[in-house]
Order: sequence, then structure tokens, then C-alpha cells
Amino acid sequence: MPADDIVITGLGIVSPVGGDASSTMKALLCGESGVTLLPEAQRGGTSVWLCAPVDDRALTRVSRRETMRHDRSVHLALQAGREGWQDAGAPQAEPSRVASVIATGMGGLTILLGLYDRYLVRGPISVPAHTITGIMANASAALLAAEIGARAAAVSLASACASGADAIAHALRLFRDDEIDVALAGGTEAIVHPVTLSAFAALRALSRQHDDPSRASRPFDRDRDGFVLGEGAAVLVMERRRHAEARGARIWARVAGAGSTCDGSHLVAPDPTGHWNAEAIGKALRAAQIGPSDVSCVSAHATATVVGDLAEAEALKKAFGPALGGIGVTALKSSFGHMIGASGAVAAAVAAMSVRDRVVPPTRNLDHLDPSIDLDVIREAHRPLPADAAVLVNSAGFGGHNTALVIASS
Amino acid sequence: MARILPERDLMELVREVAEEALDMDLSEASPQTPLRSLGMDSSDQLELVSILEDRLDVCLPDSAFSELETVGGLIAAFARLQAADSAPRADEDSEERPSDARR
Repeated sequence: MPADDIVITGLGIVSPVGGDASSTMKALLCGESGVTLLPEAQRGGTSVWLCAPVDDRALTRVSRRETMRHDRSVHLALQAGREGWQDAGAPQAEPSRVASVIATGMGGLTILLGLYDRYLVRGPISVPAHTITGIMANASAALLAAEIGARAAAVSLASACASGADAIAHALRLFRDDEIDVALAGGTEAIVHPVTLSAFAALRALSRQHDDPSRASRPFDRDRDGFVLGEGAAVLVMERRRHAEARGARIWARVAGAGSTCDGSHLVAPDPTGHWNAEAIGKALRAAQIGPSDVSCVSAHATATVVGDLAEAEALKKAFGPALGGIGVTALKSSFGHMIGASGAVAAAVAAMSVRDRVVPPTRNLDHLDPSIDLDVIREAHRPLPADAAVLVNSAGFGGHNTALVIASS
Repeated sequence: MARILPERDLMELVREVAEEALDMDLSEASPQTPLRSLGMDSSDQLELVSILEDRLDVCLPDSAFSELETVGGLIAAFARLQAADSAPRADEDSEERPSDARR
């Protein structure tokens, strides 16, 4: 095994279906749903109130002081980051060779929305000192950097729903440039709020299947009608293999490659031909030095919007060609909705557990595969993976951002 | 209109806000206790001040920040503001506050 491989030595997830990585994986394998209805008192007249929230009781690693001081997206990042760091055995490394890359699509949006109500009633005097540090999108990256002693870089990236995958891709570049030996990399998002729900609803992006919440998120299904807004965070500890092996670390998987492109066409709608998404996948496969037929499984972006799923199916067809017939595709958002800037990182963390445990979680709510989508979508509970597996994690975001990651057996 | 509290009650309010907003126990603190010795860094101090301003409906001028070395200094600064605010003013309608620019 090349000593310069980049491996995953720690995982942390907080999601609508589990408070940590293992409970999230277990829930996904059991086909559980984290989708529910926003309590009536919190809806504020919004026309869509389906959501997939994180249970507050999951935030066991966040102090009361941190809860009061920071935005919820930071709470989730601290929870997942601390779990991941502990899972990796808190690696000792030269601080100038450690980075913290925590992405978010929207940053500390809800802390500001909450304060504005107070501002309207009580004026500027009611705005607390933590407001700016609460809103700023880099707060999670900076706080975790301070905690683990990361001095090489601390940065937050924003590429909407591809942010989490882009954080991992960015960390990989820092490794390739020989800037670092250890990185915390992932994404966080917590924007479940009547204003954001209304805003996504205005884009006609959300499912409105309120009558049966657990069945509302229906990626690739004929009857899909949009995504369910979720929240969560996932953070990987990425490490140079020789660094990990020197300290006897347990290795989950490799981050074998990453590739990014931009559709460069529209701020919201994906390129229906999937051309640039396919290019991103091709770049990731080349970086991983594997071909399409070496991929065992695709963890699709699959938000369950009508156009998004179609464009992704086209992209997969273009990227994999005839090899696609032998590749199972899973759509995790069928269980926990769309965690926006966290979703790519959560999918990468789940992929790492998949290749290590050799099992892929199923896609829920797929009753009738859209006849115009020709994919082997995994519905059964435990699709096995070979010992030498590679999972392609696909991510796309508003703005035309496409990022693909290859997570492979170690 | 400012909420007027005697100094003893101000001390109680400071303890309450530090506990609620900063998760800090000030029960053992005396007026002479330096804020930094309680583990309060500059952003904690700003947080405490901003919440006290909200609760008491007064605005601490930037010039007063240099006095906030100790718990007693903090309380004295707010006590002085309250006294100034409760004194009769020529222009009762004036909304102008000395440090509004800071916001």
C-alpha cells in the first residue's frame, strides 16, 4: 500500500436517523426514516413543513455554553468533529501539518433569523455580542481548528449542496500539495426554519407529501416531487497512510480520488445532459487510478427533485457507459432527507463504513422506478460489497457545482 | 426606559447572566475579582455586556470598556449608566446614545 495514500482514520456523523456514525449506519441499513413534520407551533404559516431534524438529545458533546453561543450548524459540526477526532484516537501531529476544512452551504442562517424577531421588538440593544461569530460560515472550521491544534489551514467552503464533498476534495488537495499529514474534513448544515422552507418551496424544490412523512423523500421514484430539508453534519479524520500506520491507527477506508467541475449554465437547474457531472466523476476515477468497472457502488446525490434525479441518471450513464449495468446505486436521502452542505460529507462517511463493513444501505420509498431512469437502484436491505470495493460518492449543488469522491477499501 | 437596579441587585444580575449565557459560576466572585481570573476572555466580556445592556436597556459607551477589569468595575459602570439614565433630561425624546456607532 502506498505510504502516500490518504486514509480515513476517524468518522463522526450526527444525522436525522442517528446521533453518531454507527447508529446512523445501523438506521440506514434498517431502512429507517428521519423525516417528520415541523411542530405546528414552529411552522409560521409556511406551505411546506416536512423536515428531517436532528434530535437535540444527540448533541452530547456540545456544552451548554457552546449551545448558547453558537449557531446550530456549529453545534452539529462540533458533535460530529469531536466524535470523529475521538474515533481516530486524537492523532498527535505537528500542528503546522494539520488542517480543519468544514464546509457549510448556508452558514449560521438561523441564528440571524432568530435574532431579527428580537431586533424588531427591542432594537439594536438586543443584538448579542456573539451574533457575528454565530453567522460566519467559518466558525465550525475555526473552532475545531483551535480544539485539535490545526495550524496549516482552517477554512470553510461553500458550493451549496456539494459543499461537504468539496471540503473532502479540498483536504485531499492539501495532502497532495504536501501541506498536511492530518485533516478534519466535512460539512454541516442546520437551516430547518419556516423562512428557509418557504424559500426552497418558492423554488418548487421541496416535497409536499405531508400525509406520509416517512415516504415523502422518494429519490428516483416515479412519484417523487422534491426533497425534504434535513440537517446534520459529518466529519472525517483524513490522514496520510504512513502517519496513520506509524501510530497504529485503525483505518476505515481510503479517499482514493476526487473530481470537481461546474455546469456553468444556471444558478439552480442542473445541466439536463449531465455532461459536467459526468466529467467530475471521470476526474475522480482518474485521480483514483481506476476505471468505471472497478466501481462497486454509487452513492448518488439523488435529492428526489424531478429534474435533479434525471440529470444525475444521465451523468451516471455518460460517466460509466456499459459498466453502469453492474453497479448498484443507493440514494441515502430517501432515509434522512437533504442535509445540504453536509450531505456529501455524510455520504462519504457512510461510504467509508460501507467499504469496511462490505455492505451498502438501501434506498427507501422506491415503489416505481421512474421509467426514464435506467439504474440498478439498491432496494434490498444489505447489498454486499466485495473486499476490494470502491464507492463513488456523487454530489451536486445549486450553482452547477459537481464533485465526485472515490472512497475505497484500505 | 432603563431598568433601575441597586448595586447589590446588579451583582445578582451579573451572576445570573454569567450563569445563563456563559455557563460560568460567579458565586465566589467579589467586586475585586478580575474578570479574566474567572476565565472570561474578551469575547465573553462583550457577550456579558451585550446581554446586560439588553436586560437593563442601557448602552455602555466604548470608553467604559477600559474599566471592566473586575466584577466591581463592571457593576460600577452599569450603575453609573443607570444613574445617568434616570436623571431628568432636557430632551426626553432623544433616542441618541453615546455608542450607537459601535453597533
